[in-house]
Amino acid sequence: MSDELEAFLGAAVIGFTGYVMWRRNMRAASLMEGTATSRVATAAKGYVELFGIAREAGEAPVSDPVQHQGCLWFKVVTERYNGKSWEVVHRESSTAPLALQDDSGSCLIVPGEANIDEEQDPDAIVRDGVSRRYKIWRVAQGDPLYALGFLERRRAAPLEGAIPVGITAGQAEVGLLRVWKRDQAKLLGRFDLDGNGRIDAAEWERARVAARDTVAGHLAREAAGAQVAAAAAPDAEIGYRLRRPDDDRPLIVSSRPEAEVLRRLRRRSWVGLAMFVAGTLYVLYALGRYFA
Amino acid sequence: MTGLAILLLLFVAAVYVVALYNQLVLVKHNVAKAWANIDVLLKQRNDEIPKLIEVCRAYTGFESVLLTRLAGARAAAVAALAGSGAHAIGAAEARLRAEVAGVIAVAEAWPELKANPQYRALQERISGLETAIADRREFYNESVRINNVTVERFPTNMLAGWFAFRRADLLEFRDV
Repeated sequence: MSDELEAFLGAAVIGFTGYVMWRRNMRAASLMEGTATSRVATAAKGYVELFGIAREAGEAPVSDPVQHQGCLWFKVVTERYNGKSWEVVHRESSTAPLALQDDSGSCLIVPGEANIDEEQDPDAIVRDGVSRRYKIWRVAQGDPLYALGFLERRRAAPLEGAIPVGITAGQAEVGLLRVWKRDQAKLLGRFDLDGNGRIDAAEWERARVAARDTVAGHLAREAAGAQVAAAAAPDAEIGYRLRRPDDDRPLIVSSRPEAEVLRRLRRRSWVGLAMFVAGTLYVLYALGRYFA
Repeated sequence: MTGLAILLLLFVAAVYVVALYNQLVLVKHNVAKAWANIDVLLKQRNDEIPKLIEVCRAYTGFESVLLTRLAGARAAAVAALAGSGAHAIGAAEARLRAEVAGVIAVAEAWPELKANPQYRALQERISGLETAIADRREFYNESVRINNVTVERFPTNMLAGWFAFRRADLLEFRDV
C-alpha cells in the first residue's frame, strides 16, 4: 500500500472518528446541561439527573486486584510499553451492583449497563517494572456519585399467601370465620364438642380463638418470610433502578463532580471537531490531487 | 479546494446550529414535563379539599367561616390551574395553603375530629401531597432556570429570538 493511500485512509478514519466523538460528546454535554437534578424518591419515571453518594447494594464488597483496596466498583486497565507508546493488554472491572443514595431514597446502578467514570483520569497508576503499568478507577462507599439515565421503579415480589395490604388482623379473623361457616359439616366436626349439631356460644368463642390464632400464625410466618426475603435480597429497600434509555441517549455515571464531567465532555467534543475538520480537509485535499 | 473547505466549515456551522436548536427544544420540553408533574399533584390535592371540608362540617360548631374561606380558596386555585400563568397559580396556592393550615390548626382543638379516622387519613394524604408538591416545585423551578439561562445565553439567544423560544416563569407560593 502506498504512503499516500495509507495517509488517505488514516485521514478518513480520523475524520470519521472525530465526527462521532464530536457529536456524541456534544449531545451528552447538552443533555447534562439541560436536565435539572431530581431527588430519587420524587423523580418522575424517565430520563433524570441524580446526585448523591455511592453505597453498597447488598452485594459483598469488592477490592481491586492490584492494590487490594476495598470499594464498591473498580476498573483496572493493564498497559504494556512497546517501545513507542503504552498499549492496553487487559481490562477488568467489577460487576456487583452499587446504589446511588440521596436524602430521599436509593437507586440501583448495574456496572456494565453504565460506563462508570468513562474518560475520567484514573484514581491511581501503579507501575510494575518499566514496561508495565496498571490504571485503576475506583468508587468507594460514600463517594459522591453523579448519574444521568433512565429511572424506573423496581418491582417488589409479593409474598406468597400474604394477607392483602390494608387488611387488619381483626378483619382477617372475621373473613376467616366467614369462610369456615360456608362449610358447616367441617365447622361442626371441628367445634361441635357436645355433638348436638349446633355451634353454641362457648363453641363459637372457641372458633373465634382458633381463627385469631390462625391469623396470628399467618402474620408471624409472613414476618419471618419478610425477614428471610430481606436476608436473601438485602437490596430490597432500593426502590429504583437507573438504566440506559431505550433510545440513543447516554447513561452517564461518575464519581467526579458534574462540572468536571461536563468540562471533559466539552473538551472531547472540541478535540473530536478538530479531528473531523483536519481529517476531512486532508481527504478533500487528497481527492483534489487525485482527480487533478 | 478552497470551495470544499468553505463547504466543510458551513457543514460544521450547520451541525452546531442544529445542536443549539435541539438544546432549546430540550429545555423547553423539560419545563413542560416538570410542570405536568406538579399539575397532577395539585389536582389530586385540590380533589381532597372538599372531603376535608365535609368531614369538618359534620362537627356542629366547627367554624363555618373558615370552611367557607377554604372552599373559596380551593375554587380560586382550581380556576388558576385551569388557565392562568405560574404567578397567578402561585398566589392562589399560597392562599389555599394558608387556609388549609388554618383549618388544621383549629381542628387541633377538636379531640373528636382529631380522632376521626377519615379526618386523620385526609390530613395525612394532604400533607403527603404537599411534600411531593414542594419537591416537584423545586425541580420545576430548576428546569425553568436552565431554560431561562439557555434562552438568554449567547449564541442560543439569537436562535431563541428567531424561533420564539421564551423565558418561563418560576412557581413561587407567595402572595402577589
